[in-house]
Amino acid sequence: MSGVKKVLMRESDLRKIEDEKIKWAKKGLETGGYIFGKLYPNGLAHVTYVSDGGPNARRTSISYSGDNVYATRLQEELQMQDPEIVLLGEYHVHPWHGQANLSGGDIDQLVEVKRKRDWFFVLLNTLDDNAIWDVEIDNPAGMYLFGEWKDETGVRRGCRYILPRASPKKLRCQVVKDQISDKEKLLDRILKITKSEVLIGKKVIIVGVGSGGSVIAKYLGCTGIGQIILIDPEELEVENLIRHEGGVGEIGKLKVEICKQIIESHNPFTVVETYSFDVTKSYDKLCELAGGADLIIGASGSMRVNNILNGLSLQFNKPALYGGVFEKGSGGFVLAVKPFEGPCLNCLFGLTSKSYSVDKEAARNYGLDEEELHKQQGLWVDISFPALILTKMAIAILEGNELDYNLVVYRSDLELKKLKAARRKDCAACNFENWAEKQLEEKIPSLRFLFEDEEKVVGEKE
Amino acid sequence: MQWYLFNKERLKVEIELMERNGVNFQLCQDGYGNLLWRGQLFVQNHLHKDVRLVYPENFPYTQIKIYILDPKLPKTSIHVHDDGSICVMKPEEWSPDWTAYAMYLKAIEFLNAFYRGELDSPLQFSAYSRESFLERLLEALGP
Repeated sequence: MSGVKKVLMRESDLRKIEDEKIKWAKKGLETGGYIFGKLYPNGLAHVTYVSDGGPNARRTSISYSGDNVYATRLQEELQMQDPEIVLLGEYHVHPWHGQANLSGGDIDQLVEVKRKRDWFFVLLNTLDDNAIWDVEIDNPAGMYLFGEWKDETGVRRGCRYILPRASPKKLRCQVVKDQISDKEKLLDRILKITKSEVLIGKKVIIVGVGSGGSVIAKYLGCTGIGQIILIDPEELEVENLIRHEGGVGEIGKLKVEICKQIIESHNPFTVVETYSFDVTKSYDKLCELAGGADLIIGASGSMRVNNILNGLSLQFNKPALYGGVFEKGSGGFVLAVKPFEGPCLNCLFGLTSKSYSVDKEAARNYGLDEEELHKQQGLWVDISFPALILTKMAIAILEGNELDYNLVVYRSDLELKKLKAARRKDCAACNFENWAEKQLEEKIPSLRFLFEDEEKVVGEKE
Repeated sequence: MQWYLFNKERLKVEIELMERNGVNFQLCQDGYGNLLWRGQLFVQNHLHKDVRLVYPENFPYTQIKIYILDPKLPKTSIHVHDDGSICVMKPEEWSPDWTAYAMYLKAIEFLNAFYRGELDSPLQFSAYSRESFLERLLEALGP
């Protein structure tokens, strides 16, 4: 586990800090206190108790130093009630107007603490603002540069130059009503039917949060998945309203941000990261994100995007799920891929691809041109149907349950088929050797002229 | 990371297919590190001295791009782009089973159709077709 990604606070704790701030700011003194709570494996810091600085805290107009003996005793007392409670960080009030930025001294202190633990933060307040800060230590080995200089009397003195070594970063803080911050109560209705202790440690990446992806994101969030990464470059437009979780007030907002808000409004214990880039153009970033995920979900409805995800699923050996809707909502499918154990996306869709294979017949049947047919893909309910099936399969995969099928195909008359598809023996993506042999009709000869000197123009024979 | 740095086996097949089929194109690298095949094509009495088949960074999961240059094709079709690249299939149709050699054949097929005035006009279309997927899939999977 590295670092805190999000802080969850109760309204009453924030009010307590505000009251403390006002009390001491009136006297022109800095103040502060301690923040206790739980740290979850998904990087969520859940604040459960906020204290003042203790009886021996020292406060001046430019400095504050907490009573650490008091904090240690308090932590012991809190741990008697719940052994998982730890000191998560501290709050700190600068009694002046302006933005809540860390001072040089604050950064130094945070760096010192972060050498011992990677999850400590500071909630910083001014009279106008408050923000939670963390630091990332860039180069712990080369933080200090020692030198010497002579003072006016010629005496040699040692000095320490502090090099830029830590990058402060703002942490996201979600403040919720007190009753919502009780995780047990929040998940009360599903705790016994899900493996919540497993799901909290899982990370899912959803590519595409349109009609189907927004449904998947919401329902996965409601099962207690630890981290959800959402990727989609688009903003919500008027024509999306009747097929998206976002509403009128969200037109013009990024779809990923809308979905994040929806997930967190249902389950603030899920950490959601959002990225608004086109996966066909930012391959390296996608690789980085997919490499750390436990499950890849292709919900864009684009075969082009799904092909890229299939490559990553195979490269990183990560399970993947793909969903799609047939024209005019006449049915849909969900495919679950367990790399190299079952069929990959290309095992099945390689069967269907042929050049210029536009579904002209469907276009003719509905009297629509092909572009229009794509836009009028189906009602939201048609798209939500495979999305919900996909979500159920995602939960099973994340909980480690074996599925006795890997493909679900359904028709709009509610005929549903669960199939166990097999790998294609000559799939270029997941059965490369067989494919290559078939292509060449014999074993692949070794081409020794390649890669002997990678600087050379590749393919130049000796 | 470029595909050929960790997928050398696939690169061997790509080269082998081009060589075995007597394609007189040369494999080079462009300024971005992308591999490409470069050569000439003579189709329907028209010579293009610079034809390129450019592998994307994440080949084979993204489509190979075909450029018809020297001379570029006149932009009389929606399948011919300003930069000289041509559209021989919809992105949805791409599959890792396609090779540079297959795309080389597609380029010839395209030029042949272009000079004969027989180009189709497929538009981008990403809705999956039940007819083209379900039936064929079930048929392929067997009873």
